[in-house]
Amino acid sequence: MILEFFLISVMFIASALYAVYPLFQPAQALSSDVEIQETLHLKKRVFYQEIKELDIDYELGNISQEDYTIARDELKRSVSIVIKDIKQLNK
Amino acid sequence: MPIVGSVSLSLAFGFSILTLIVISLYLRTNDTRLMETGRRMSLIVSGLSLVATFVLLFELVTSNFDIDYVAHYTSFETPLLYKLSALWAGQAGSLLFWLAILSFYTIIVVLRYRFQHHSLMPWVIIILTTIQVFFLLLTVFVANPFGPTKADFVVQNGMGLNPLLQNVTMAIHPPTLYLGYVGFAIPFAFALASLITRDVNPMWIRSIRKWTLITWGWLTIGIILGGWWAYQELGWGGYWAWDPVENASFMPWLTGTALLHSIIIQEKKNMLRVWNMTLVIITFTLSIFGTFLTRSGVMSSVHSFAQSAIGPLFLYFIALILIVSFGLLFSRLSILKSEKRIESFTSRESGFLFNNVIFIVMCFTVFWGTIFPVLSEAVRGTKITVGAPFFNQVNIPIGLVLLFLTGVGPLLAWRKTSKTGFIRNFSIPLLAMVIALIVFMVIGYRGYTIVSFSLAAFVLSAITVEFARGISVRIRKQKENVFQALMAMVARNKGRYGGYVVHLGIVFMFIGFTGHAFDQEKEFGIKVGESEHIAGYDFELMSVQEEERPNHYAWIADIRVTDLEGEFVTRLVPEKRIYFYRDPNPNRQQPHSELSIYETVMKDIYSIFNGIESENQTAYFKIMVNPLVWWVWFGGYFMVFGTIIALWPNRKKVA
Repeated sequence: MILEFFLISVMFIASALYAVYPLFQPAQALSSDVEIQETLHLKKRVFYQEIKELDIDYELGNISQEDYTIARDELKRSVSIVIKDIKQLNK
Repeated sequence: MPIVGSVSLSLAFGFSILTLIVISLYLRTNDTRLMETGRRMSLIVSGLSLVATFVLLFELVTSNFDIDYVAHYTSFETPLLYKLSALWAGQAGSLLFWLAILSFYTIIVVLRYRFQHHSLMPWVIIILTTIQVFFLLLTVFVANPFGPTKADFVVQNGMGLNPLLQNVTMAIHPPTLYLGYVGFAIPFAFALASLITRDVNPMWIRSIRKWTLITWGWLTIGIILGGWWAYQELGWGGYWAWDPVENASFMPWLTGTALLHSIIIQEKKNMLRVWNMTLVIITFTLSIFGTFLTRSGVMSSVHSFAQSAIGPLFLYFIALILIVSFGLLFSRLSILKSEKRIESFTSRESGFLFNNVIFIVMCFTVFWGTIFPVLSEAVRGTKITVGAPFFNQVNIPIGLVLLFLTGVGPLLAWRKTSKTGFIRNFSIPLLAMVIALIVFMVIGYRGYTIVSFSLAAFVLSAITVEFARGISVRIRKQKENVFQALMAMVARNKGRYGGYVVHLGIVFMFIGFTGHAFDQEKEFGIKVGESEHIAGYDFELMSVQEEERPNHYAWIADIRVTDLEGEFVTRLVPEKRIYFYRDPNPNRQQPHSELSIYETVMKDIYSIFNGIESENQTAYFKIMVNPLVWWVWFGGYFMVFGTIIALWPNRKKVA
């Protein structure tokens, strides 16, 4: 019973200390830029992946030359806008 | 030691309430210290829940029969593996196990996304903690697994685990199923968080797609293992009986599969956002509903449900999830509506959408068939059972349409499939289908059998053509050999080709399901030295031996199987066992048939030892010859393999 009481006490005290520790630290400002940058990088990756898939579809003959050109140009335009936004944010 | 487990759960409950308060305060004040505290508290809640789970495992292994749960589900004779698996054998243990897995997932989410999804994470933690609060409430106040034995004497030995659960597959099946069920809480938490914060950017969608795929993979493994266990252990010769417990896992699998497809459209085209939200909510609700079905007692009787404390609480929780989730969804409809429309009927988008509709229709039929007996009992007072014939009649045609779409999807291009592309892509698969149709008609197959085999030929050739075309393009352009081209092609788009491998698995499974139409069976009694004939095989009983083992008594039959030419095929050794045979109370003795199965690619020979009459030395058997069952498990391996391919991480580029 003593061992159990000891274990429970240790568990409770350790948990409480671990939880409240940040409250005694200085507050840090949260930069929204980080999240925007993450989103933009992800968008870029998604567009690149889409271009890759479009190329595969075209190579496999699943899509006509005309549709391929239109879709690829559209994706390239989107990717360049995202890259521009990333550059602007990094300035 | 049980006090440590019990207090851990109580502490976890207290900390979970504090987590909700602290993170709510962070949302009001924006003080990041509060967020960090809330995050840590969430880790503490999960850690304490895991501590409680390990304590119960320790008590089960050390046979502490002072705990009611341990005395109910284990005994000294129970082997170690089954002492561990007793954790999820009963209600209180399985609810704790649910909580443990949720806690495990929560720890991963909290640590993994520490520096990501800043606006979503407070809400994600709040939602996951709220789910934890519900399960903590159940395990602390309603079904505490650490409750003492209700006896005024010292319990010398426990009651032991149900013999049907003393099977290796059954030791693995529930954890995998739970990993699937519970995992849907993560996409749900992200989806709800995005609704609350009005965040519709594609970042969280990518995060939850991976989670959905992992969860779906576990659920798939769980369902297949469940079928495998039923086939190996239950002794009725099948692997799927459409019983409520099976349906409970199948329904979230169906909506989860629909989600896996439609989420790709949102990721690529930013369309179907409302639909995907709906699917996430329904899938998670069905996961909770599945636990409710299996744990509330509602399926055995409406009355036992009303008397159980668990049942109504689950129902309230499900109602809360639905009201809050759909309320939020309706309030956010304006920001979720997509400006884009599906451009063509012959696009992959429309193929995905159509498959989604079919999945939902199938899910609804399963749902309706599952709850109809409960509704009939509640409304009319008499239980109307809905059996396998209903489910088969409704779901076989729906399943065949799905099989057809499995082949059609990969042949369609995004946006629009050109006319020439359409003709070129479909010509070989359609030709394969027609040839298969003619061949099987000539052989003499009819009905769904012929449709299923022909569609299997269509899908197999469609996927093969996709792989072959991709490989040939790479060979032509990159000058690679076939193997290099295959590997590079798959590595370049793991999601797509992993998906195709999963589709191959589905086809193999359908081949296995179709084999059920040709099952043969016979029940008979024979003496040693006699033989019986069924489906082109002779079964000669060579001997019946008796053996006393640690936790049961067994009669072991030795059956020699030969074919029509008298050639030796195999030996079958089915057993008849009596568990708890030392128990003075004969009602506690549990008979159990341990099957012996000879498995081949073409057919299984399945033997069940029904019983033995000592007076006239006659042993009774049921023999079944089940064609193509092997393909069901083979398809399962493909599905798992395909999921692993799709989940395989991309190699990080070295700068």
